[in-house]
Amino acid sequence: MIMVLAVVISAALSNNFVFAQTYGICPFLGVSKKTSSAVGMGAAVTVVMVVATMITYPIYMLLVALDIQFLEILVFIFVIAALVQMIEKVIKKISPPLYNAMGIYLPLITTNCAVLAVCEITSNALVSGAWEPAIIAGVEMNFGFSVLYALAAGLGFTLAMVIMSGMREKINHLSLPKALQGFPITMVTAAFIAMAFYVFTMVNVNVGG
Amino acid sequence: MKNKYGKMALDGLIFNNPTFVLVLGTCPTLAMTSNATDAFGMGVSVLVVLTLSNIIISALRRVIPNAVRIPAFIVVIATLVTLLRLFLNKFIPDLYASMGTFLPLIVVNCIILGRAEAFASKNGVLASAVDGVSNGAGFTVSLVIMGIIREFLGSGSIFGLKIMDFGIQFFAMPMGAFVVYGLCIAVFVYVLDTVQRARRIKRTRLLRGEELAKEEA
Amino acid sequence: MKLKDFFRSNSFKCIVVLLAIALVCGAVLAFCNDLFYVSSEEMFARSMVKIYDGDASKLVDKITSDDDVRTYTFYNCSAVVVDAQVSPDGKTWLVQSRGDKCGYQGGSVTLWVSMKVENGALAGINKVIVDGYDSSQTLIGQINEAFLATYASDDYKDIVTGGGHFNNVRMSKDEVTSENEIVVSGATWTSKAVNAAVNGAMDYVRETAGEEA
Repeated sequence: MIMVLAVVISAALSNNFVFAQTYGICPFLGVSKKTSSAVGMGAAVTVVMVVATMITYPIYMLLVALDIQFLEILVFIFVIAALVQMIEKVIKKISPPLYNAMGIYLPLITTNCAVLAVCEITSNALVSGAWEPAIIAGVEMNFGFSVLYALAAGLGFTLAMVIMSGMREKINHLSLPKALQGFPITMVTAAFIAMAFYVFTMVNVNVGG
Repeated sequence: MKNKYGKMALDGLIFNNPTFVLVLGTCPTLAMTSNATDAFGMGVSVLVVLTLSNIIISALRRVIPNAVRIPAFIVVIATLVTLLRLFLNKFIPDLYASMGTFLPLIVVNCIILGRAEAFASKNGVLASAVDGVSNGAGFTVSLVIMGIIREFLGSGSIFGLKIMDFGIQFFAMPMGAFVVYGLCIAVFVYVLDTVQRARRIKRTRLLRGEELAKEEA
Repeated sequence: MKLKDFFRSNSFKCIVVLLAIALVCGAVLAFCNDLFYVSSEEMFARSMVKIYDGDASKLVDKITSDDDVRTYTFYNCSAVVVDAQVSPDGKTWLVQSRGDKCGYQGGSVTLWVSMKVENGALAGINKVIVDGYDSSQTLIGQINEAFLATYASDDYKDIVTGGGHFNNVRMSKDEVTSENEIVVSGATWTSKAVNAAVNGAMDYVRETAGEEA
């Protein structure tokens, strides 16, 4: 239980993908203008992250077993691209309202580095040398923890998107010098939220200590 | 002809600078600029991958059917990144270690796929190579500028050389990256706007002068 | 659609081109993977260059199986001695030690510690370098060379030779009497893990070098 907590806090808060590790900044800046679209994008990324981890983790084990680890980037990016297409089709068929809510964000996810980053981190991909499981927050990443990590990272990403979109809806009403409008003020705002998230690094979950 | 390449080079470096004007490839920009050495390493890595992918894709542009163009680009880019990874692991292990996860993430760097789609798939090999080098150089220069600022403020040194004995750790951390990036964009856009406005005014004055001269004649 | 039409259609062309590109890329990668292969000996020599001046291939490996791995506990942190190498003359011991389960968020830091041994007793620390850390160590940048050099400085020689341990646990203001307090403010948990790793390396040498003498 305590291990689950450690992984979740580490992935979602103290090592938040956006504010602490700076993954997935493109959608964070591009799709955070409105809260509704931020939630849609966050949910879509979370789903893709979890399913992608479920698939790439065993595949990487297979690559390690076959000693062809060098194909890892090629395989991962293809799995993600194919997965995004499939999820898009499935959602369209099963639930049209859901598709309308998050379907338009799905094609953007293929080039979202946060998804590939989750796959790389959980599988602890290396070019050469003997493979060892990744250790995150003192927990050895097996399949179950990897999926949990992906879920928590996705939720952390969604949280970041929602906070940012709320701030941006307010910022849009400010009259700022022209050079500061748009990306610059968003970046500076993100810096302040990142400072707030830094407090989570003080949380120390002692695993089996 | 020469003028065309010169204009392309300037576009990539300044007027359409991928980092400060188009704000593409933000993740490595934020993550790899805590010191100037890493920033330079990341910039050159992207420059190499971008130039090679532009050349290869431009050479294959008549062979690849339109329907499978994106998957084909991704395969080429992923292969190049894997090659780069193997190369760095063998010859520059320090850079390989400090780039960590951000090395494979070059695959999903929007600059590379963006240039492949927007430029290399429509233009000749030489033009694509120039485009790749200029955009890569624009990215590298921007990263190094940010790296120098952050390293100096964060630890008082530049490229690992100690200059002053002070350090504000804030700038070495991700929040410092956000602040420095935001302000860099603001300054760059401001300077670019001012320069372009001055140019436009000068041009309209010149035109007006010509018109007046015509009328007088 | 007839089979013949399929072979002439655009989708067949798409498949062939994609397959061809993938095959060529795979072949190039397989070739370059062999070309740029880094053997485990080379990896070992690389990490040795930073900590040991002599010929790395002549070092004697002390930990050859998993049974030799030792774990120590200090001030609520644990240290695992993963690898140990001894120079041919027996005077320099290189110990790879991992500070565990007390680092920030329970993360870990792996160090290489080079130590001087005289007459089977630990006589001093030559050098400490960071070998690796897990992804949760975001403050590892603050464990710089200047901080690591304090372990080898003369100020702390008594602790090293006298069988003591480095400690950064500050109980209360009145108890700040111990001179062995080493801590980087702002990176307390990370420096605790580093302390534990150094302590583990010292204890390993104290035990093992003593047995041999």
